[in-house]
Amino acid sequence: MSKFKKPDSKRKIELDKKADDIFAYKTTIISAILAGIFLINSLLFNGNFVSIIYGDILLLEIFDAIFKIMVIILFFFFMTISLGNYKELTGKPVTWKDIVGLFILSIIQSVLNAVVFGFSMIGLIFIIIYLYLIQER
Amino acid sequence: MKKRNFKILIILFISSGILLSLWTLPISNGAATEIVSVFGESPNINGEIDTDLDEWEEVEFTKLYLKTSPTDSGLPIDFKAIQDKDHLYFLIQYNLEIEEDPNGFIAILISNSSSTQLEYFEDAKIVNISTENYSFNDYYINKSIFSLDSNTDGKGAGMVIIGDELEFTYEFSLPTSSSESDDRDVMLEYNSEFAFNISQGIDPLFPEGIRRSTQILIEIQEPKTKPPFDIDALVMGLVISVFSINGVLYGFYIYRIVLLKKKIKRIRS
Repeated sequence: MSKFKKPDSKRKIELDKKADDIFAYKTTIISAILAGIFLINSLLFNGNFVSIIYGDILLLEIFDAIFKIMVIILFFFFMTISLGNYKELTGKPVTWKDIVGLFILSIIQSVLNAVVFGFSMIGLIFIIIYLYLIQER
Repeated sequence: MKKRNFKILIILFISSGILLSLWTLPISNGAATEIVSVFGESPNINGEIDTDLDEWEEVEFTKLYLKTSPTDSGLPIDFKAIQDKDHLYFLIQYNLEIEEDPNGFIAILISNSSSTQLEYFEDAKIVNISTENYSFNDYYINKSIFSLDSNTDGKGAGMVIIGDELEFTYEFSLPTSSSESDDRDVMLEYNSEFAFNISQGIDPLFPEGIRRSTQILIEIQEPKTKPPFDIDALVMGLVISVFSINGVLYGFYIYRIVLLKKKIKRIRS
């Protein structure tokens, strides 16, 4: 009985693996595209090319800072997801070196604004701790 | 006898009080006007406004009124103040009826502080127009006595144009750095406010010849030093560098993903 079933289960495993790979690849590319969108937004807002602030409206200044922080954090978050899946497809684990590299590339986007820099730093550290805690041991 | 002594004491006390109050009376009529000095190009102090060089163009005129008494409507004058690194410049222009005397003077009395009380005015720069020529003199004031300062610090010039009216123009340059000042000049220090009295008269006798006056307050601004590099260019360079690095690495990462897809397809086939 098992002699007849073996090729089917092997094929099923192969198909499952292929489906997993396709899913991982799709996640890699979609996350990378999303990270790219946030990188462009970060260039526009954190590079001070676009601003929503006019006059001395404090609420707009707060909203502007929150938007800049969120853009950096989301760039880091999606890049981490994309890189994690990419590494999985290549069969290698994500190292601390990769995370630190992404962290630096994210945080330097806020170099023109001390407030955004401070809060982005806190946000990125929080995400790193979160990702570290949820990973399988 | 005792009563008499007491009366004398009272009279002495009252009279000394009156004298003291006279001494501390402001020498101008009305409250001092706050003027904001603006940094600009140094004008040529010659009594003429050179429009080709856009002299005095950086700042708007302030209307001031030289008054003989607090109830007087006053003589309207147009006033400008410009500052550069070492000098504070004043421009004063006013018109008089053609029947009036074409001679006269403008005196800038300088207080050693922002106080407008008489005893604090220690320096005077005076331009006197006489028979269409002008003279500039620097005076030292001690207890309302004007003494000619042997070292003339600053510059002044004046001109009268006789047309339908008498059009007077006065220009002054007051040093704000120690290089051009001596002990008998008020040192106009940066970031300090000083009171100035602008007085007008005909006969160059001081202070008796002063007819009308007004007071202004000006804070001497510290010149802004230019940074050794262009901050805007530095910021732009930083933004371009940061996002270029990010962009190049992101592009390389996308390229690696595309390569990976091909690799996966090759393995699967």
